[in-house]
This record gives sequence, structure tokens and C-alpha cells, in this order.
Amino acid sequence: MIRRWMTALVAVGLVAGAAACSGPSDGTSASAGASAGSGTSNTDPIVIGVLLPTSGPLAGTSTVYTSIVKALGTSALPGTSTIDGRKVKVVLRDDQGTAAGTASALRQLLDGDKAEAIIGPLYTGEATAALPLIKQANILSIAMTGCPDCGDGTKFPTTFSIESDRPSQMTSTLDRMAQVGAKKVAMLQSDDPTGQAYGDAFAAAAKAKGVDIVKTVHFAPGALDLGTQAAQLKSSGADAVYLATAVPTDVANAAKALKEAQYEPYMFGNAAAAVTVVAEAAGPEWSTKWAASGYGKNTTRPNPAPQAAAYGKKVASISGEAALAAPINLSAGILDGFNLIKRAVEGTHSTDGTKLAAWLVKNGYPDGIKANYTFTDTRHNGMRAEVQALVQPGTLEGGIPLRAGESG
Amino acid sequence: MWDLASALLRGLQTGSIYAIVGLGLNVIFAATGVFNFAQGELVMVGAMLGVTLWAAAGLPLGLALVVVVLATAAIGALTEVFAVRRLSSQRDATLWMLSTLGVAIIIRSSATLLATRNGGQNAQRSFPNYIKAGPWHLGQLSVVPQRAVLIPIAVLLTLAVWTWFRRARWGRGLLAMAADREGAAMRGLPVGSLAVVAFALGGLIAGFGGFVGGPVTQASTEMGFTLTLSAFIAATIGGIPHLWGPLVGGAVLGIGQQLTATYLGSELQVPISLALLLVVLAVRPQGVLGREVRTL
Repeated sequence: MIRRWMTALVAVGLVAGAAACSGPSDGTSASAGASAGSGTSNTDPIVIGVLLPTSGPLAGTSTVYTSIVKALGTSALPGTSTIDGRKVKVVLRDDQGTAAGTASALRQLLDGDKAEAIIGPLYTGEATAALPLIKQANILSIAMTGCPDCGDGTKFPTTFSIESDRPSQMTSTLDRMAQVGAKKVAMLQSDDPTGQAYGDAFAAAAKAKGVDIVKTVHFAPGALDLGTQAAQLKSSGADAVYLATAVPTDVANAAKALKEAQYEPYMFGNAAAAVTVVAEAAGPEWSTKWAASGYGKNTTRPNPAPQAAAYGKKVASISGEAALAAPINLSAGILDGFNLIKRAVEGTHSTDGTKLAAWLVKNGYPDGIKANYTFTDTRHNGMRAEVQALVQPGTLEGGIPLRAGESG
Repeated sequence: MWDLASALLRGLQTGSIYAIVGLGLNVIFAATGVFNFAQGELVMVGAMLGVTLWAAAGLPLGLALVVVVLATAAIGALTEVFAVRRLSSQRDATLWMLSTLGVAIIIRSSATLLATRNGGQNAQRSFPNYIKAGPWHLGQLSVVPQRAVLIPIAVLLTLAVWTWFRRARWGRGLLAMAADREGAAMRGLPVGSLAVVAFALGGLIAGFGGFVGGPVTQASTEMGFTLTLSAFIAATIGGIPHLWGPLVGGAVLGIGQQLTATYLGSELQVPISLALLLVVLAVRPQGVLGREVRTL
């Protein structure tokens, strides 16, 4: 009897493991008969695949997106239950926060689930791994990251990004550094692909603007003590530090180490620097000297766009979160991605990637929740510099405390 | 000179966390011959439950710590009963490896579900300092009390466990079981119950480590694996299953990491940590303390 219990427990563990590693987590009730490509029947559900890291070191960062993914295709989010008259079936798969996991999960979405459009991944390494498969399948994908190739319409004509591209994001960051009067700039960079990508983009933008990065200090992802790095940054005399990492707990650890070194410069980063865990680590006083890029003006305070305010209330009713807090800004990208797909499919009555891409380039998405998106044939990053914002951690208040595009 | 002193201090502080987590691994392995892959998840439970009870719910620090260690001890005991007991006696170690891995995944998935049930960001929490005093300065050396306190905590915890093994009835029973499980059973020792005690003690140490180290590690539902890996390296360097091994190995690993960051560059920390492990395995496969004491 006990042996049976043991066997059952092991089986449960393995099943849970498989689910955590690669299993689908449907955002809607299962629908039979999903099919792919342009030869589908209008009565079949349209399958939207979503790639998020629900396991692995980046899993924590995907939780803000999952409540919206699960609400897609349901009555909780009106307007998402059908596309072009077809029922919507959303299939969420775990990319494990790795390139290999992304390739595997995407292959399952394409071959097994017969996905006709993709939302995600969240991060550079994973999105880059997805690009060749998306191109080969000729389906529309909306990446949640501004990775360089995600916005290159020449190389990957059916992939679009709801994010700004790195150059314009870094330009906004450097402009804000200049506005606050930063004289010396340093960088703290994680030794992972996303940290490397952000670091390279920041260094390139700084060089283009003639800004000298006086010190670049590296750290291993997940390092417990960044005191050595904090001391090196402090001794550089920098009064502004750019954080090149996508892992919020690493940003929080950096904040603690810098505080312990009694060094509280202006801090700049990407969306990972804007979340609550960072605000808690930095504390209320220092948080006002932080600014995170990658945000859309529509959702930032004090004057959010009406559609963003309405979305905030809707998400609050779904997930119980405070309306217009930082997670809502992030998750708005998922609904914007869904709406880009929906509008293009309904505009073309097709799921052919080439046709959908042409429609998006022509029409854009002028009333997006997070931002107003515009595309060209070559530039598929929808969020231009003029619609970007920088925010403080834990809030959607404009960072330090101005928003991009506003004068100092 | 101050850079060297700072690297040594930081290394000892970081190594103390590895030592506490590694101690839990060694206690279980010494007594039962099982390497509990779920140990890191119990550290995670200690940190997540700790920050929830103490920082969010407002329980007194001591009470929150007691609740945390009781909870993780209970999970450890249940792990032995349901996932290990019938499998650890099999010759094939892959059975208990799989079952403890399964438990790890169940704990991590459950914690993530609980922490994010409202769709929020609670899978990652900033663990506040429980020692609020600011840094002390000795020349150019900055000593952060919240980090420095981990060194005496790790030493005293190891000493307490070591003493318990030698003085307490259950501890001596575990020693006997570690030396010869079948012989201990033939002499009437309740080896099944002793194994439960070993897992409960391992769980207690893990929860304690997650709580007291929380302000340094932060709290995240994904923190368990990385921490267990570092603790395993520390325990291997120090000597498995020697009780003082993780303390020695943690110090070696932590100091090695900080010296690397200070003098060679942080990007070399991980490769040099692993190289350090390979060197120790090549020169002293039994670990630094392994030869002198074969078991506990």
C-alpha cells in the first residue's frame, strides 16, 4: 500500500515538474479542433500562443502578466472572446526563461497547439531564440521586449514589439540623466544575455551622445553580496548609475548594497527597476532618485490616458491589485499585443503573417493602452521616443519626477 | 589592505549563508544517505513565510521565526515519510533523487501559486533588515551589522547541532544510524523515526537559514535552487557529511568569490567557484575535513 503511495507521489511530482517546465496552462477552457494557417475553417477557434517564463530564475517576473493572460478570451476582458467571428483559445507555455526552453515551447505551440499568432516572450535571449521559428512559420508574433532583432522588420518581417527599441530607450535615459545634472555616469551590469544586451545598448547610446561611462562593474546573476561592486561604483565618483539587468531581486540586492555603502546616486534602469521589490529595498526617500525606462506615457501618472485608466480599473477587479500600479503597466502590454493581433486579423480576415504585418505597418494602433503604436516596414518597435516614460519604482509616478518628452 | 579585509569579511558573511544551508544538507545525508533536493525549497519557504509573517503580517520577530522553523521542520518530516522512506533502502539512488526533486517542484509551484494568487508581484519580496543599525567603520572597512551577524549565527548553529548530536539521546541515535543503519536497527533503535528526525532537523535548519539570511538573499520563490547549488559546493569543499564541513567550505567558497570580484572581476566569480570545487575534488575528494572524521 505504502509502495503505491510512493509511486503515486513520485508520479505527481513528475507531472508537476513537467507542468512547471513545459506544460500548457490554458487561459481559457479547452476547445477542440484547433487548426493552423490560412486554411482554417471560420468555425474553428483561433489559437493564440503565449510564451512566458513560469519556471526558472525569471519566473517571478512573469506573474504580473499571468492574470491578464488567463483573462484573455473570457468575459472578464470584454472584446477578447472572439477574433473575426472565431472563438479565441489562449495557450500559455513556459519558456523557462531560456533560449532552449523557448525554442521547445514555441515548437509545441506551433506544431502541437497549432497556434496562429504568438504573444511573448518577455526577454531578449528568449525572444531572439523565437525569431527564426516565427519567421519560418510565417505567423504574426508580438514580442514583449525591445530586443534589437524583434524590431527589425527587414530581418524578421512578421515579428513586432510593443516595446520601444533600445536606442530610443537609452536616449530617453541619457536625456533624463542630463536633466538631473548628472556629471559622471557608471554602469552596473549583470553577466547574463539580457544584462549584456542592455549594457551594450547603453554604452552605444552614451558614446553617441558623447557621455563618458567612468566605470562599468559586473556581477553574477543571483549574487548575494554586491558590496564589492558598490564600493567600486562609489569610488568612481559617479553621480548616476545605469543598472543593466532584468532581474528585480538583483536590482533590489544592488539597492541594498549601495545603501550599505552609504552611496545613493541617481539610479536608472529598465522595467525591472520599477517594481515593488525595488521600491521596498530602496526606501521611500531614495526611490525618488530612481527612474525606470520602458514605460508608456499612457499609463503613467499624473495624467494617464482614459483607456489606460479604464484598463487599470478592469485589472484591479480581476486580480485585486491597485489600479494603475506598476504591474498593470506591464500587463497592459499583453492586452495591447492581443489587440494588435485581433485588429490585424479582423482587418485582413486572414492569419497569414505577411498580410497581418502589412496591415499593422499601414494602420498601427493609435489608441493602445500602454502607448500609441506606430510601425514602418523596417522598424517594428511600436513605441517611439515621444510616447515613452520613465517611472519611479513601485509607482507609476514619472521618474525623477519628470516624464520623457517633458522639459526639465 | 582594506580591500583584502573587506573581501575576507564579505566572503565570510556570504559563506555563512552557504554554511547554514549546507549544514541542513549534511545532517540529512549523514543520517540517512539521502541528498534532499528539496532542501533549497525549504530555505525559500523560510524566507517567503518569514517575510510574510514578520514584515507583512506584523508578527513579532521571534514568534515569526518559531512558526517558520516549525513549518519547515514539518515539511521536512513529511518529505521523509511520503517521498523517501520506502525508496532510501533501495540500491537505486535515482528513486529518492526523483522523489525529492518531485517534492522540490511541488513546494516551489505551491509557493508561487500562493504568493501570486492575486496576480501580483509577491513571488519576489524585499526582506527588511532585522538589525537596523547602520554600518560601523573600522578604518576603511565598513561592517554592516545585518550581514556580519550571520557569521556568529552560522558558527553557533553548527556548534549547537554538533553538541546535540553528541549529547541528546536522539542525536546519539542518529550518530549510531549514520555509522551503521542495520546495526542500529538490530540493537533496537527506531531507525524509521530517527530518519524522520533527521529530515525534520534538516528542514528546521533550512527554514532558519532562509529567515536569518533573508535580508541578504531577499525572498523569491525561485531562490531555492541557486542557493542549494552554492551550499552543495560549500559542503563538498568542506567535506560531506562532516558537520563542520559546510562552515569551512562556505568560508572557502565565499572568500574565493569575493577575492575574485575584488581583484579579478565579478564576471569570473562563477567559473572560479566551480574551478575551486574541481581543485578540491582532485586534491582532496573527501573535502577539507573529510579525512579526519569519516562520519558525523
